[in-house]
Amino acid sequence: MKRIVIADDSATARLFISRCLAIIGLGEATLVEAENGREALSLLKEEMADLLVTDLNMPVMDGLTLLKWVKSSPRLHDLPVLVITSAGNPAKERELKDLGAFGVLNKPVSPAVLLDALKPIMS
Amino acid sequence: MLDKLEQDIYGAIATTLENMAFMEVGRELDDAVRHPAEETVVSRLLIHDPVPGEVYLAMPRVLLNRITASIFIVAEEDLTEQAALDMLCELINTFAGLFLNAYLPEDQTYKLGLPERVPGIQKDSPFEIRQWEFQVDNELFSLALAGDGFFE
Repeated sequence: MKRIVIADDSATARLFISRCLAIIGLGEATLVEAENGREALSLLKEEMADLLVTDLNMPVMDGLTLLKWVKSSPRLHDLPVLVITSAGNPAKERELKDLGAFGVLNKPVSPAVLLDALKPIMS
Repeated sequence: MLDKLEQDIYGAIATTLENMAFMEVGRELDDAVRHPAEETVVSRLLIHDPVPGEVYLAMPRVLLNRITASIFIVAEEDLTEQAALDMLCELINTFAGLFLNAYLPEDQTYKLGLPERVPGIQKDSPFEIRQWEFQVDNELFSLALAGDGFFE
């Protein structure tokens, strides 16, 4: 995995996710940070990524809208999207997976949980 | 039902601080230091759905700076105001999600607003409001929940 886009309006959350990614062996990847969905979309249009990690609750463009944009774009459609949110529950998880997210994790995320979620695409 | 509410409030804040900052939240307040309002930073998060409400987290600046410095791995004197406020907002965001996931029925979805800094816990909230105190590192901090649907 070479390029990972992390979309979260919280610098603290982005730091947490970056640390977890480094701990599970993805420290060599280029981590690109976005403060909202719109910014993430711009970054993805500039240069394709291997993984998008996104929060749901963000200003300007939320994670749900970002996910819909990505999955409706012919160019970005195959990009794996992992949602890390404080507002996740089984119903929300089903909705997000139906929209194309391959994983949904609740905050606070830990390296072990993140590794488990990323296994299918890391291999 | 109130017992469950209080257990879920405590469980959510304990998990938030233990998992994010490796800090243990205590309910024993006798020896905890109580800071005046002017030394406290307050964040609010609106609950839009399934019942309208508000969550508040009021934390002494000294404790917030300690938590932020430990997570960002910087000296407290090198911390920016923005980093500390961002931490407070992430704490309330994570707490609210954990609390609502524990308190609401499993398949109940909910919608939260964005965390914001406010001058204090608003006692003039249009909703019924309850407040709980906890301590971390012997520093007392408060959580408040406002919303008519929570206390029936």
